Amino acid sequence: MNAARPPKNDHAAHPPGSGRSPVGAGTAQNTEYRIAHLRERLAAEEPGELGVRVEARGSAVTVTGTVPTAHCRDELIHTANEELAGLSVHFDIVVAEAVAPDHPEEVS
Amino acid sequence: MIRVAAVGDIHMGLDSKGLFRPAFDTLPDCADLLLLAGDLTRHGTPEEARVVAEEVSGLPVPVVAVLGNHDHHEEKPEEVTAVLREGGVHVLEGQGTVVDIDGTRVGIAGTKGFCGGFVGRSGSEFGEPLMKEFIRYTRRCADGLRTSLDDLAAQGCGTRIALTHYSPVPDTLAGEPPEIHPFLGSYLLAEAVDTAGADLAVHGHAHAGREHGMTSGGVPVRNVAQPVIRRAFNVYHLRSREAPATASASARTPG
Repeated sequence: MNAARPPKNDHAAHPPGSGRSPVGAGTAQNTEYRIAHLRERLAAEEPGELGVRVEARGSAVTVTGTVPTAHCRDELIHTANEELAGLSVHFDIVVAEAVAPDHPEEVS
Repeated sequence: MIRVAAVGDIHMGLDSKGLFRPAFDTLPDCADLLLLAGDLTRHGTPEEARVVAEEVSGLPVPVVAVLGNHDHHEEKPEEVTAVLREGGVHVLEGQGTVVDIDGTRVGIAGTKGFCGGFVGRSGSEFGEPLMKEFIRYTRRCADGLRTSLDDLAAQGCGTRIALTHYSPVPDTLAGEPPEIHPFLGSYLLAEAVDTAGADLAVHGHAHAGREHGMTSGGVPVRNVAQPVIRRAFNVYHLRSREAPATASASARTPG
């Protein structure tokens, strides 16, 4: 899906977790922007954004979704940990199954 | 009976070569055709498209696809389309194709579709040129879908399927944040399906949505995004229908 993907920009070029201004550092607002920058970086880099959901919950960040391969999962976790360094990040990333279905649906 | 296999959002990359082939090799036993509902790649590179093409190459069932937004990201949709076609995939954009299944003509009309939202909560052709073009692009996709479905009826297809990447209905987006629904589909696609008539509408794009929905005209809708169906594909059995006498006669209110 990758809804509302912004155009490529220079966010990914900033050092991970560095922020771009000391103003607001450590605030909830800062976490929101860091989440937004993570999403932009995921869209630009190898795994693609792939509909992964990144949300601030309490003092932590949750990263949830389904990705096509274990490699994508590893890349996603690495990138999120890098971009959100210093924050507590909880992951629930499922690798999609690629097995054949065991029954059809009769569509009436 | 028509047996339709479908999956979308398989997002293949160089690390996923061969991932789907074992499941796809079972298709001749359970399906008459395979629909691919877009986002076949991660960034829309010809290299990724080649992985997809190899995955379905030589399958004994017809493979029909539309592209998704990911397949456009590198801005090489023509190259991606060409690679897929070399692999034997029927890639549709504002077009239809007819598959003969034991003497029954089954028509598939396809478009990627686009955004805009759903009735009462949608963008409109108003204001800045960019905003107008945003909605006009969706309208062109929907018009292509409607025209293709009409053409398929005129070609004697009693059973017709609408294949898109973006969703025609909000039903199958349940689970996605409502704020992003306008970026996940458009009612214009559903209106096209209901105007021309179809037996099934298949889409992808909404990874966190749900599988089942229906247009307001009563056409069953299935979101086959792989994270939703959690399989290599799902199979839908459709009843064979008699071909309508004319294209205009095909405009019906299913139910």
